[in-house]
Parts: sequence; C-alpha cells; structure tokens
Amino acid sequence: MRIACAHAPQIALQSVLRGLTEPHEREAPIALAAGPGERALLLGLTRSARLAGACLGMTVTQARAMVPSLRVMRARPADGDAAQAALQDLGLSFAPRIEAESGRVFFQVGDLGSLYPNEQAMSQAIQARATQLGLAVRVAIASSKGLARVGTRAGEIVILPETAGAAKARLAGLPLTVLDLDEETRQVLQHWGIKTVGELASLPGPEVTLRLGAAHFHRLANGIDAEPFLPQPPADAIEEGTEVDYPIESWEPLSFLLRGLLDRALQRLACRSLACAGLILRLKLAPRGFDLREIALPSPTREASILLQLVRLDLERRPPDTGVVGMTVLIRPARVRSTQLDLFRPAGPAPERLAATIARLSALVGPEHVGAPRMVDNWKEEVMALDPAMVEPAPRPANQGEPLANSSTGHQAQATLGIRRFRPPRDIEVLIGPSGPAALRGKETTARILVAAGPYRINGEWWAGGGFCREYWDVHASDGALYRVHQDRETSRWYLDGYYD
Amino acid sequence: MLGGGWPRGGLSEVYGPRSSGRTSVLYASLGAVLQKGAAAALVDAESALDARRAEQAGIPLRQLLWVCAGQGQTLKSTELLVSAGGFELVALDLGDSVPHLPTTAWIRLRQVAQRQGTVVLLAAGFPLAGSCSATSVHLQQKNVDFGRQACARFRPRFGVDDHASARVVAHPPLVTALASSVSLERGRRTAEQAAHCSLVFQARERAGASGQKSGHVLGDEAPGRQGATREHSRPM
Repeated sequence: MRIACAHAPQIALQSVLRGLTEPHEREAPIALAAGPGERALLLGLTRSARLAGACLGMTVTQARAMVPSLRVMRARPADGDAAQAALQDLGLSFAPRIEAESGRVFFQVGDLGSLYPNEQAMSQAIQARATQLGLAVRVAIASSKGLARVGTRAGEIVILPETAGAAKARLAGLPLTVLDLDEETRQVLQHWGIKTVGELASLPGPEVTLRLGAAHFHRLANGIDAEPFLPQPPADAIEEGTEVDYPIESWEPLSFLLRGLLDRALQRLACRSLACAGLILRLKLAPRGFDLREIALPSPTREASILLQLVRLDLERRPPDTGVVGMTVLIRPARVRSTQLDLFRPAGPAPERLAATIARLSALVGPEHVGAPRMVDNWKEEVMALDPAMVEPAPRPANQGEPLANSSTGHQAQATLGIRRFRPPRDIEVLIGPSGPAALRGKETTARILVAAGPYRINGEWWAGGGFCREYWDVHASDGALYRVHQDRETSRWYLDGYYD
Repeated sequence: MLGGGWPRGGLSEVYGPRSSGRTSVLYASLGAVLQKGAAAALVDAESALDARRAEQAGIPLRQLLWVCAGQGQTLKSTELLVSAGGFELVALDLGDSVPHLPTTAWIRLRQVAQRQGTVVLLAAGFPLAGSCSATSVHLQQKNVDFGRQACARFRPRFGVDDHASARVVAHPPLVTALASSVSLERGRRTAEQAAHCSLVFQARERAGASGQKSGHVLGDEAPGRQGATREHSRPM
C-alpha cells in the first residue's frame, strides 16, 4: 500500500493568503496575528517578512518597528477551517478515501500508477492541484502513514521506497527534527550525540525503548511503521468565507470578494468531481447582524459567472440593509449532470445557461410569472398553476407531433382553436333578450350579440363549501369577436372569460 | 402556404383582429416545435394562456417555458430568451396590447434571433415589426361554426344561417370551428399565391372524452327553455 501525505505548512497563514487574489500581494511582507490589537502575537510570517527581520512570537508593534511595510492580517477560525477543508478536497481529487489531520491529508495512491509515469510525477501533480486550490504543500509518498508524515518534514517532494530497508537508508541522513520528537527525548538524544535518523536507527531497539520509551520513533527510523490508515467521510457542504475591515455598500467591491470565494469553492468542488446544486450566502452586516439568503439552482453548475449573476440578481432584488463586513458562501454539492445529446432531436439550451436566463427573467418579471403551466384538477375553466421551469432536456417524445397544420385539400389546413383568457374574468354587463344574451357592455367591448350558443351550466365544489354555479355562453358579437361569457347564478353577475382566437 | 414553415433566425409576425385565429396559430407552432423535442418559450403579455386549449393544441405543458411579462417587459424578456440560445421558437404573444416600441428594438431582436438561429414569432392585433419581419401573415375571420345548436338573435353575417332560429341547449363546445382567411403580407411567397389560403381551427372539446373527470352539466332551467338535466363529462 502506498500512501501520500500532503502537508500545508503554516496552514493558518496560508488560509489567509488564499484570500489574496493578486500575486504581488502574496509576495509582500505579510504577518498573521493571533488576534486584534497591536499586542497580538505573530503566528505566521511570509518568507519576505522573515527576510526583512520579523520573527514569530513578536507582537505586531515590534514587527512593524522592524518592517514598516509589514501587512498584518488577523487569524479567523473560518479561514483555517476552509483551508483545512480545501486540503481534504485535494486528497479527494486523487482518491475516494482520505484521512485528515491538522495541516495534513493522507490518501492512498497505489492505484494511480497507471495515470502517472512515476511517483515523482504523481507528487508534482498533487502540488499543482494544491496550487489551484491556493495552497502550497509538501508531498511525501511512502508505504505507511507515519513514514509519509516524516517525509513531508524532510523536503518538498520525498519518495520513500516501499521496503523497510530501503526506506531506512533513505531516511538515514536526515536530521532528527524530521521525527518531531518531544523536547525531553530530543535533549537526551542530543546529549548522547545522536544527530541523524540513521544514528538513532543504529541504536538497539529494546534499550532505546527501555531508556526513552520512544519505540515508535525508533521503528520509524528503521523504516517500520504500523500506524493504520483510517479513512474519514468527506464533509457534505463546502464553505468559504472572508471578512473585510470596512463595510462594503456597493456591488462592485462585493462582487470582487464574492468571485474569489466562489472560485475557490468551485475549485474544491471540481476536485471532488461535483458541482454546485445550491448556494447559501451569509452576509455579515455592519455593525451587527446577518443577512442570510439562499440561491436555488435549477441545475448543478460549476460556472462561477452564473453563480455570481444569480447572487447579483438576488442582491439587486433585495439589497442588504447596511454595509457588508464579511461573507460566507456555503455550497451544496451534487453530482455533475451527464447528458448525452440525441442524434435525432435538436439540442436545447444549455441547462446552466437556461438556469441563469430563468433567474434573470424571474428578477425582471417576478418568480411567480416564470415557469411551466400546469392544469389543475378544478371545475373552473380558468384555473391553472405554474410549475418551476424544466431546465433538463425533455424526454424524447414517443411519437412525432402533428405538423403545424395538417394539409388537406387545396389551400385549406386545420388546427386546434385556441382561446385567450382574461385573468381574472372581467365584469361585464349583458343585456338579456327574450332568447338569451342580446348585447355586451364593458371595458373590453361594447357590442350587439349576433349569435349566442348556450347555456352550458357548470356547478361544482358544493361538496367542499363555497360552491359555484355558472352558465357559460359563447357569443358572436358585432365587433367580430367570439367571446365566452358566464353568469354567476348566485350573484347573477356576468363575466367575460375570454375570446376565441 | 409558407413553403416550409417559419424562417429560422428571423422575426415573423401573425396579426389580425380578435377571433381571427392568431393565438391558434401560435399554439400550433409551439405544439409542433415542442413535440419534436425542441425547446420553445412563450412570452405572454396578457397572461392569456389557456392551459387546456394549449394542451389540446399539442403543447406538452411541462416543457413549455411560459413568461408572463407585463407591459414594457415583453421585448426584454424575449431578448433574454433568444440570447440564451438553444430555443427553436420563442413566441411573443402581445394580444390586444399595443406596445410603443421603437424600430431599433425590433432590429435588435431580429439580430439576436439571426445570431442564435431562433424563430421569433410575434402575435399581435396590428403589424408591429414592419420591415424587420421576415414573414408577416395577416389573418381575418371568415366563418364561425356553432354546430347545430346555437340561438341567433340576428341573422349572422357568417356561416350560421340554417339554424338561426334554433334555441336549444348546446353541448360543449359551444363554438365548434372557426375559419380564417390568410394573406401573406411579407415572405418568400407572393401575396397572390397565398390569396386563397384559409385555416380552419377546430374546437377539440368533446363530451365523454376518455380519462377526464365527469361531472354534472345542467341544462337551461329558465322557463320556456329546455329544462332537462343532462349529464356530460366536462373536460378539464
């Protein structure tokens, strides 16, 4: 069994650096402080900050005295969690089963041999994927978890051979610091004059165990490790967040931050071969309070621009009350939709694009006015409902539909007669003659009735209370239109339902 | 009449007065496209869609994207849909409303349709797109058929004359057919070729249709009229 370990050193600092989108920002001297204020201790430093003279353990004031251009960023638990989750996603992009610990992720790579020419290339691929996720990692591949962990302390990419003897030889020249000994053991070994792993391995095992109790380190030094690999299930949702020092009140800077969050979250989704099926945006408002909004997606997508557009439409429809000082994006993952185009039917709109279009239409005319119509089991003719629009391709029809008009003899064709509804039915006055409706007068029309057919009486819903009884007439009015009118038998009022067209 | 259907990637319009059959043409076009498995959308300026009639016209309702856009939003909604790409037909039903739109709006819509290869079909009371339309069809009501059961107060102008004096209870549907004359005002064929074309729109509602809910339809109980209680199935 071959196990890879990806280690993100200073993950707290890296989690903060992930939020910096411009490369030149990362190259500037940056320090991570433990908390707010000038007395907070520094937890992490970039290379340029260390070279400029700042050291870990300094206060912010001391570091700024040493490096005036030092940019101090504050540690936030959410950032660290997101970076750790990103590290797990890195493992999931290579293997279905991972085990994570703080700053490290382990995963089996024994089956990846057919994809990469050697383990060196595999390690480089892991590093490249980590870079996409905004992390800088060290990679080690070994035959056990403990050895892989030791390997990540030894260098950027370390490949330990599979056999214990070869691994022992590979580790022999490394300093003892790679074993991460406790302070007491390290001092004793230093006193004994043991400086390398090879020297520790050459000591007799039972004696070392008797005197130091460090049997595990001795076995590691000999290339032997029995630490089991305990895979963990991946987290369901993907969360990314950020905070700013000042309230943001306009869309432009907000979209800039949001784009970064979405890009990172979608990169993590891509690692797991998943797509975004829904989005919850949590805005931290100034001076206090939160604004929670859920963005529904008709179809899973990995397009950041579409998500950004949907969020923008939602924010435009319901802007936050005050400025935004932080935001968290929680993404609900789903499997990527796989579709096979049909050779014998036209390709419809791309589901992701259609989803964005429907969202834009919903923002324009209201969500209650966009969708797929549906007939309702109701006795009233005009009643219908609206379902959410279908963005997935429709199932292939069993038989081809009728043509627009069935050609018959000569220049005559037939089609189904449609009717246009007035919603709601319009009030109208109807003059009744000896043989039925004689004239119409209302906002929609005022005309004599030439021909009237009816009545066609419907009563219903009496069993549920609030029943109705209507008499329908089709009338050919003198304005040339064919109207459908009805009289409510309970109120004796007339309504114009629509006209045939 | 059109010699192959609505031109792809162009703006077509069907216009005529009320009850001239423009909505029926729209339904038939949508039904034909959707039954083929392609995507189609209807932008409805007056929310006038009748789901039952639309389904009878062959429209699979679940696959139709229906947008009830108010005044001032119809063209924008249509543009959004056409720009999305992939729609074979986007129907714009303006009904009786007369939007005050500049010619540039129609030009823009035509260009978007041309780019996406979508048929944009406009149904209105008047010709609106002018020279921007690739095909312009004018419908005019020609004949109305009430079947054998209608009561006529005056001698009708069209069709129903033999049964003008009949005053009986009608079975649904009350109107059974509508015939319209069609003239091609703009298109690939000449107006002379299209001069003799006509369309007949049949009401497909029938009593006793299978698989539909049955209920009570009462006859006219007014004095002097037939008062028998009838039982029919009423189509949903």
